Amino acid sequence: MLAIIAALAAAGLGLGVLTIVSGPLDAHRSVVLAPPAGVAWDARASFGPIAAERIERSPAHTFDAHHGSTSARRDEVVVAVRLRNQLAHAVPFSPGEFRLEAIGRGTTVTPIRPLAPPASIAARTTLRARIGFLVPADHRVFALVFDDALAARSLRITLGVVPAPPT
Amino acid sequence: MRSLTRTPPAAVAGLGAWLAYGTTLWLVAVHVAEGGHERHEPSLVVHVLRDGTLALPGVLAAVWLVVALVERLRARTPLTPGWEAAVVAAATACASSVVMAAGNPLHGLLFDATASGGLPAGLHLGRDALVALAAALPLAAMLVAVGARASAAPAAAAPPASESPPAPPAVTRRAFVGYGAAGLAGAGAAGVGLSRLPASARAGVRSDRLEMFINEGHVAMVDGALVYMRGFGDAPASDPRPSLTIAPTVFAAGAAGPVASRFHPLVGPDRLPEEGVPASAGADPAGGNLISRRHWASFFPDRTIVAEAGSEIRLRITNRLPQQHAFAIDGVVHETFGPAGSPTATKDVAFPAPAPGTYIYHDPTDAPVNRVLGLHGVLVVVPAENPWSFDGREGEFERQWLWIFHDIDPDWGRRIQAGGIVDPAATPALPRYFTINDRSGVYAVAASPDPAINRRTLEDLLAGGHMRRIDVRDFSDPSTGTGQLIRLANTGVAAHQPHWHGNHVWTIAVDNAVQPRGQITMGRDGHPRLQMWEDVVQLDPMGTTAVMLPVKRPPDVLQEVLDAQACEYEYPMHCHAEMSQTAAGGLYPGGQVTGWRLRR
Repeated sequence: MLAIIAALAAAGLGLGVLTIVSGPLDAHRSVVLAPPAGVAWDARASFGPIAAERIERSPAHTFDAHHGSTSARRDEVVVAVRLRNQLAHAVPFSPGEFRLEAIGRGTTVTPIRPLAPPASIAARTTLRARIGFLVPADHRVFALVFDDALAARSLRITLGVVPAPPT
Repeated sequence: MRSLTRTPPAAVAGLGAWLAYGTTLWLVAVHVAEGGHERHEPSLVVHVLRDGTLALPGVLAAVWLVVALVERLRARTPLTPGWEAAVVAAATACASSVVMAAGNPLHGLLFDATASGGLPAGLHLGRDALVALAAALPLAAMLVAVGARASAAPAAAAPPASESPPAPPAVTRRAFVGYGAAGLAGAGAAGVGLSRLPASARAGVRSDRLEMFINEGHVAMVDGALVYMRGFGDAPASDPRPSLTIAPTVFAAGAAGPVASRFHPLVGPDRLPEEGVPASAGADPAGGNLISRRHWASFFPDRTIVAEAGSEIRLRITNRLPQQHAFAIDGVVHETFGPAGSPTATKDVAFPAPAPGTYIYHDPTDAPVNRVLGLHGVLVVVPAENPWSFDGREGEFERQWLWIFHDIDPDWGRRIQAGGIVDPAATPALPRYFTINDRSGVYAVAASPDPAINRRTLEDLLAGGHMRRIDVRDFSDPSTGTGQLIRLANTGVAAHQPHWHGNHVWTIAVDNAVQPRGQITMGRDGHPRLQMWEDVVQLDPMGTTAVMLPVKRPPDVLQEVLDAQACEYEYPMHCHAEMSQTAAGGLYPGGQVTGWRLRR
C-alpha cells in the first residue's frame, strides 16, 4: 500500500512538474509553437520589454450561432506573453491591450477574457499571462498587437504561420 | 469522556498546518504555471496564506481522523515505530490531498478562479489530488520522521513510569468538534479578510464634507482596451488603480455630514430590495400584486450624490492635475480650481440643495472635453417630505433607479494624455465606447464573468418589480398602484434614445420640469411637452428625463404564454442609436444595453 501511495505521489509530482515546465495538460490536440531559432517575438513597450513566449492552437469549444454568426469551426489561439516593468512604479495592465491580427484579413481579434486580472504590473517585476483568442479555423498567419496605453501607441509582433491543429 | 486520539493535540495540529500551507504553496505554483486566474488575484504570499488558512480546518480534521485510525490499528496490530511513522505519513498525506482537491470547486466559487484545464470535473479532482499528494507525502514524511526522532530521544532516558510527568491532554470528541467549528469560523474570517484587503484599504474618510479629487488614469473598457480618462474620485489615486468616481454619498437634511451609502432612504437592511427588486406585498384580488408603499430603499450607482431637500451639500475638492479644472452644476454652482500644488488647487464648496430633481455635475472647462473624459456625475435631490416621489407631488414610485448614459472617445483621451489640446470643432468626438452607469454589454446586463459586478448591476441598473395594476392618473393612489421611477441623465456628447421592450414608460419630467398633463406645448427641439406613454425617449447631451416604468402585464401577451412562463420575464432596454450598441467599432452588443425584470 505504501508503495502504491509513493507511486501515486511520484505521478502527481510528474504532472505538477510537467505543468510548471510546459503549461496546461489538455494540449493533446494542440499545436504548440515557440519562437523559431534566431527569431524573437518581442517588442519594446514604454515600461519595458514584452514578448510572446509560446503559442498553442487548439479546436475551440462550440458556440451558438446568433446574429449572423456561422457554425464554421473556430480555433482558440492561446499566446503566453511576458511583460517586464522596468519602471520604479506600477503600471496599469489589461489583457485586452493585446489583440491578435489575422494578417491578410485586415481585422484584429479581442481576447476571450479581456478583463481578467491582474490589473497592474508592479514596479520592476515580470508578469506572465496566457491570453486566448478565438480565430477562424482556416486562417494561419497572425501578428500580436499590443496597445501601449502609457505611450498611446500600438506595437506589432509578427508571429508568422500558426498551423491549425489536427482534426 | 472517551478520547479521540492519544497523540498530543499540538503534534496533530502542527502536522495539519504543515500539510495545509506546504501543499497550498505547491498548488498555487502549479495554478500560476498553468495560467489560472482569479478575480483580484493577490500576491503569492497572501495567496498561499489565504488558501492555506481556508484549507486548514478540513486538513486538520482529516489528519486528526487519520491519526485516530492509525492508533486503533496499532492497538490491534502492533507496528514498529518506523512502520507506524510511514503509515501515519502516507495516510495523512492521502487524506489531506483529497480534502484539498475536494475544496477546489469551493475555492473557484469564492474567488472566481479559472484554470486552463478543460478536464471533466471528476478527472480534474483526481488530477488535483495526485498533484497535491506529490507535495503532501514528502512533507508529511519529513515532519513525522522529525517527530519520531524527537520522541525517541527522551524515551531512551525517561524516568520510571511512576515519576513521569502527566501526559498531555488527549483530544476528546467534543473538543474535536469544538476545535473544528472554531477553526472553520476563524479560517473563513481570515480568508475572507485577506481576500478583501485591497477594497477596505481604499475606503474614503468622511467628516462634515465629501472630499473629492480631480484625478486621471487608465480605465479598462468592455473589450479590455485601456483608455485615458479623468474623474472626480474619492481618493487621491492615479494609475495603476485610479480613483475616478465617488462612491454614492447621501446628504440628509439636518445631518452633520454626508454618509457613504449605496442606497436611500437610509433605512435598515430589511428594507433593501433583494437583487434590487422589491418584494410583493401580496396578491391583488383584482389581479397582479400589491406593493409596499413608501417602504423600499433604492440603490444608486457610483458618481451619485443624493441630497435631501433642505440639506446643504458640502464638498472639499482638490485638483491633482497640472491644469485648471472646475466643478459646476449649471445654474446652481460653479467653482474653479488652480493646477495641482497651487494655493487654489483645494477649495471648499458648499451650496444648498436645489429643488428636487436630477442634476449633472461636471467640469465645464473646454466643454465638452473634460466632461467626456470623465469629469462628471449626478446629483439627485429628493423631496424631504416624501422621498418616494419625484418632487413631493408628482411621480410616486415603489423604488427608483438612476441611469447615467455616457460616451467615451479614446482618441480624445490619447491626445490629452500626450499633452495636446482637443478642439471639438476641429476634432469632433467619435465615441467608441458607450456606457450606462459605467458599464457596457455583458457588464450592464449582469451576465459578466464577475459575480460582484453582476450583483451591483442587479441592484443599481436592471430595473424590476412585481406585476401590478397601475393608473397613471394618480401614481400615489394605493388602490391603483404605482410603478418604478427611472432617472435618465446623458453626460456624453451623443443624443441617445433609450428604448424599452415589454412596457412603454410614462414621461414625467424633462430637465427637471414636470411635464403638463393636459396642455401640450412644443419644446425648442420640436418635441411635444406632455406627460405621455413612450417606448423611445429622447435624451440629449446634458439632458435629464424622469420616466415611470409601470411594471404591468405586457398588453399583447397571451394568457397561455403568461401561464407557461416559469421564471421572471426579462426585457431589454437599449439605446436606439445603433452605434451605441457596439464597442470599439464592432463588438456587438457591447454598449448601452440593459433591461428590466417583470416578476409575477
